[in-house]
Amino acid sequence: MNLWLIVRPLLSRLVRFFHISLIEARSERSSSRLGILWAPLSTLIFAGLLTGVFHQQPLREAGDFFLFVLSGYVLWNFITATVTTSTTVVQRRYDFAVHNNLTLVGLFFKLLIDRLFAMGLNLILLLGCLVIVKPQTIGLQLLLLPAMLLIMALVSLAIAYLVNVAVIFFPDLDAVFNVAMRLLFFASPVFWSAEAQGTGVRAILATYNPISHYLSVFRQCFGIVPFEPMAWAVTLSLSLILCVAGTATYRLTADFIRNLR
Amino acid sequence: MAAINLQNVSVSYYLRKSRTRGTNLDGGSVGAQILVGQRYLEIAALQDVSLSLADGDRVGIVGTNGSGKSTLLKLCAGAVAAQSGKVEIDGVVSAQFALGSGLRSELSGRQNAALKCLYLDVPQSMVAEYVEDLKRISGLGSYFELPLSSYSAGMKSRFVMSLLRLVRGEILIMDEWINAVDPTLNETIDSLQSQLIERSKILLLASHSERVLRQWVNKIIWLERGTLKAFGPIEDVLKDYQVWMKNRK
Repeated sequence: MNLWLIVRPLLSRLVRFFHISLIEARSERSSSRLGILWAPLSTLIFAGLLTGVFHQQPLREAGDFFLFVLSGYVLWNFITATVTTSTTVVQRRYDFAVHNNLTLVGLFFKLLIDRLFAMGLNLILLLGCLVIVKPQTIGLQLLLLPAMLLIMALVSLAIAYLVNVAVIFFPDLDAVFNVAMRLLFFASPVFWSAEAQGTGVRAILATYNPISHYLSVFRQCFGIVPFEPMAWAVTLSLSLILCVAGTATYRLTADFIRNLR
Repeated sequence: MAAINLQNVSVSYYLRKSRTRGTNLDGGSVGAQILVGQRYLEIAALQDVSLSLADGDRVGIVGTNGSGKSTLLKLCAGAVAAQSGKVEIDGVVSAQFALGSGLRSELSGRQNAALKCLYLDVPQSMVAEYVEDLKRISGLGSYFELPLSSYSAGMKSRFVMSLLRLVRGEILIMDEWINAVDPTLNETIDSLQSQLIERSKILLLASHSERVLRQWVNKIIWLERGTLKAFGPIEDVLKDYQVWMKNRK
C-alpha cells in the first residue's frame, strides 16, 4: 500500500509527460501528412541504407544483418539524443520550465520522456520488423527489455545532467560533444560487428567502447545476438558508476546552476 | 496549513565573465550589488532577508527595478536556490511569474491550452473539458485553433488571461497581475482572480500598481537593492515607500 502511494504519483507524472511529448511531437510534424510516423520511417530508411551499403554476404544473412543494424541504430538514436539535446538544457529551457511549474529535476525528467517517446516509436518499428523478418528470434529474453529500458533511462538522465554541467562550465564542450558523437557512431558496433575479425581495431572498440556493451545487451533482449552475462555485468557496472556520478554532480551543482543566468 | 519562513536568506545570480562583460561595472541607481569573481559575476539579488508568512496573509511586494522582487518570488517557488540562510515552504505552491511565458508560439491556442493543463497538473481526464472552458473564456472562437504567432496582441492577451482558470495552489505566487486590456473581459477576469485568491491560503504578489495592491493585499514587503526595508500592514509600508520614492526623485 505504502509503495503504491509512492509509485502512483510517479506513474501519473510519467503518463502526463508522455502525453506532453505526444502533443509536442505531433505539432512539430503537423505540416507533413505522415506526422510522427516520420520518426520510425526515417530510422527504417537509414537502417536499410546502412544494411545495403555495409552488408557482407558471407558473414550474415541480409535479414539478420538488417535487424542487427536496425536494433543498433534504434539504441544509437537514443544515446546520441541524450548527449546532443542536453548540452544547453539549463541555459535555454530552464526559464520555460520555471514558467510551467517544473523543477530542475522535472525538466530533465521531461526531456528524458521526450527521448523515450521517440525511442518507443522506434521500438514498435523494431518489433514489427522482428515479427516480419525473423519471428523465431523473439523469446523469453524479451522479458529483459523493461530492465534494459529502466537502466537506459537512468543512465540517460545521469548523462544528460553531466553533459549539461560540463558545457555550462566549459562552453566549448558543446561543439566537442557534437563532433564526438559523430565519431562514436563509426567507433561503435551499430552497423559493423567484431565477431568475424576476433582481433584488430573492431575487436578493441567492441571491448573498450562502453557503448558496444549497451548495444550488445539491447540486441540480446531481442535475440539478435546470443545472451552474454558478461555484457550485462559490464553494462550494470558502467550504469551504476554513471548514475552515482550524475547524482553526486547534481548534489554539488544544482544550487549554483539554478541561479546561473 | 501553509507557511513561508525565511531566515537570513541570501540569493545570488551568477553570470559567466566574458571579454566584454565584467570589465566596467559602475553602480547605477537601481539594481543589486555586482561582485566580480574569477570566472563569474555575482549579482547579490537578496541579502539577509528574514520573514514569516502564514495562512491568510495576502502580501504585496514593492521596490524599484532590480530590488529583488522577482527573486524573492522565485525563491519561494523553488526556482532559485539560497546561497545562505534557511528556507522553509509548507504547502503546494503555484507560481505564475508571467502567465504569457512558457507558451509556444508555433502551436495553436488549443495545443498550448492542453500543454498548460498538463504542466499545471489538471487531472488528465479533465484536460479536454478544461480546454473547451478556456476556449469559451478567451472568446477566441476559431482563432483558438490557429498558432499563437498569428494572434494580435489583444488576442494573445485574451488567451493568456483565460489561463488564470488553470492556476491553483495553497501558496499563490504572481509576478505580474493580470489587468484586462479588453473591457469585455473585465468581469470574467475579475471573477477568476477573486476565486483564485479565495482558494489560496497565502498570496504573494509583486506589483507596481497601488490600485492592485490596495485591492488584493493586506501586507507589504518593501525590498530595496536586495535587502528588506520594511514588512508590515499595507497602510504603513506603502505610505513610507511612496514618501521614499517621492524624495528619491
